[in-house]
Amino acid sequence: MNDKGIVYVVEDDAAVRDSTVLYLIHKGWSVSAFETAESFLAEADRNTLGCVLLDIRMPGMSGLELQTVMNQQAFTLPIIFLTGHADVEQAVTALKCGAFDFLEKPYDHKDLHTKLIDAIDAHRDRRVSEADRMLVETRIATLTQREQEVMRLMVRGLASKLIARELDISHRTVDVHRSNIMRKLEYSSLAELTAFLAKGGGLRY
Amino acid sequence: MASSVALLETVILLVIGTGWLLIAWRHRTVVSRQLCVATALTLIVTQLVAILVGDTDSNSGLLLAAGIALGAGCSAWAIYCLADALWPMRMGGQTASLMVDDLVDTDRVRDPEGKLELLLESLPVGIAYLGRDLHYQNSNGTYREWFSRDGTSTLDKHMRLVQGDELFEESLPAIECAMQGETVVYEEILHDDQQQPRHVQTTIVPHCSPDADVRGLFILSQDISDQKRQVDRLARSLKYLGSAMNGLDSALVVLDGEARIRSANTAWGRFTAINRDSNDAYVNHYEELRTLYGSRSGSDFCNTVDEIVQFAKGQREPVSAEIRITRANEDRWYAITCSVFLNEEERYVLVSHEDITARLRMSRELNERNMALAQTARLSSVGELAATIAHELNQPLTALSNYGAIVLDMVESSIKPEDAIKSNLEKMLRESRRAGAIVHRINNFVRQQPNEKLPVNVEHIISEVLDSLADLAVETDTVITTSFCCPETTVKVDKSQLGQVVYNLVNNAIEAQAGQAETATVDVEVSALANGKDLQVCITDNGSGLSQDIGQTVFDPFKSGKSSGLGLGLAICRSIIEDHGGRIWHQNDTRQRCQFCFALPLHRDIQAA
Repeated sequence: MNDKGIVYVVEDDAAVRDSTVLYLIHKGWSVSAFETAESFLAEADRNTLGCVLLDIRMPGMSGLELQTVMNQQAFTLPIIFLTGHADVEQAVTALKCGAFDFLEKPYDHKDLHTKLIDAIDAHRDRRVSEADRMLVETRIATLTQREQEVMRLMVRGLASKLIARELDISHRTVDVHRSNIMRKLEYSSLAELTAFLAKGGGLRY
Repeated sequence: MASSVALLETVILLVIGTGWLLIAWRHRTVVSRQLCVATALTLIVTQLVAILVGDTDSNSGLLLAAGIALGAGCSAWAIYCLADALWPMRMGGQTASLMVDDLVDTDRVRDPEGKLELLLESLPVGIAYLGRDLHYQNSNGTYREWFSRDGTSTLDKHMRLVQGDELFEESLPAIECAMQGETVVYEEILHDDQQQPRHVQTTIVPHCSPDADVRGLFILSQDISDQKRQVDRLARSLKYLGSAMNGLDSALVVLDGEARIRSANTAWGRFTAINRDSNDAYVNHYEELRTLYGSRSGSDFCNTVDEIVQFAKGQREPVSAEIRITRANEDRWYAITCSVFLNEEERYVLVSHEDITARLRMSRELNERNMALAQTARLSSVGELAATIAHELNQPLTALSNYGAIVLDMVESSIKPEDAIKSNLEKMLRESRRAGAIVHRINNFVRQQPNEKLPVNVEHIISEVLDSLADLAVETDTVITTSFCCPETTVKVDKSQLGQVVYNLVNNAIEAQAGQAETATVDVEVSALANGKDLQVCITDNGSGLSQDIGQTVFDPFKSGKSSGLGLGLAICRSIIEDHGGRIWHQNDTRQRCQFCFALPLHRDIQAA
């Protein structure tokens, strides 16, 4: 299993790209390098764990433009911008737009390591919660309209009798729905169900 | 019988009287006319009275007596007139003879002397003869018209009487001089009541006897009013011109063919005055300026003085120079120019020394202000420059630190892979050279190198540059073609600067085509423009043309379309071409290919032209 994830290097300068790749490989990272933002968008695998080392100044599509496109396409790889001394303004903009961090060239290699690790950890967390949310959504999708209504009231802590009154149905019918919900969502207790929904940001329900 | 005799007598007497009247009419001079009229009237009146009375017989004695008395009275008057007329005849021989002629002047125009006299009388110059006693003995009509106060005869009148006291006193010194036997010329102004004053030039020539005694004076007077007016006008315009010249701030001086100073204006006095308040430096020869100012100015001025002297002597072309003179501890700057003019076929040189100190100061201030403005404008791009330089230098530095980190790691490890270390170190060297090159380029841009413009053939320069790019062309599979037009034509340029322009443009063209599918080509075309003044060089590549929106901003500094580069290449090209009086532009050719062109003014040899 590839725990460390892949570092995507997007850098137009050949020497910088080459040295960065060599260094990261030397340090045991998996690296994938691209000369332009366009080729990265076209070729990068969107499902892998990792992060992007992105040069902020590039001919053609710039680093900031690439960030915008990634946000639009829900491309969640965290971005570490590589900036020059005078690009502070751009770096601030990038952070506001959700960049993970930035590094000023020429960077300290310890900093680079820390930030790569932090970024990939963040990506990993984001990917797990993403997976959970997907799971919750999938299971909830199996419930009928009435069952989802009942579940929402259950999570709010209402007793069966109150739920029956709220939905203007019989007490017995509510009990049938309850057992169906627990079976479909594969949980045995209400506490477990509540925790599960919370994990997927399911408090919406 | 008696009455018929009386009637006949009356008729005969009337005829005789009428005859006398006819004679009087024919006579011109006053005296003889008076005489004739008197006689005629005596006869006619007597007889008319007799006829009117009608009684020729009875009263004839009384009437005859009355007629005779009247006739006698008239005759006495007539005799007096005759005596008056004849008096001068006894006084002077010449006039007397003239007066005798006068009595028969009907024939005068026919004889030569008479013609001459008539001529003298009517000449538009005043002629007179004055005796020793200053009495006029003769004068013509013009003289009398001008000088005689009452316009009547001047004959035998004293000059004072004729001309009046004032005028006479004025001419007295001249007359006294002429009486000593000298010819005198003088001018006098005659005032007429109605007309403008008349300027008269009078020449008095003494009439001398063989033993040099002055017998009289010939006087000739000419009207010179017109000449006088013209001279006045000329004098006035000269005066104005002189005032204008003197009013000029430029010191003007006219030199002759030997560089001697012939004329100068007031400013020249100030120019040659050592001290501000003394105008006493008299310079006779232009060369003297060298000793006058040699110590107060640079050797420039001495050279200029030499050159102007040579120019005055016709030994060299006109000179124009700007020189500095220290005067009263103050530096003054002068622009010296000179030109030739001919005056009555003689060659003169006008040298102008214009004080340009104030103008120089103004232009210097203006210059400084412009510099300050340009500096402000430049400051705004300094930020841009800093960012560009930082980014540009950060690239090799980042690469260096990456390679360095790898090498350090490898050295610290137990394995120490020599090959990998070596290759990384080589890459480090390469990156440090790259950083050096960037610094060098910036340095070149910031520091304007002095240039030396010489007439050279542009096609030679292009060939040399293309030779140096041959390796790169092979590496990148680029086909470079040239089309030259003018192997003999020269353009005045700095060879290395123009070489840099060509290098940048061709190098750009090669780089722009890197990685494109089509064949990379660069066409370098030299052509003479139709205006006959410019030489055009176009560099066309096979890449797609730039969009027209970019327009001429491609020549602005820090506008780079490449992954690396400061965006200075084209800016440098533009600054060099414009410095050479040319222009550079970008366009897409007919096949929408990218084309960069520049035009430079052809060098023309002045002698050849």
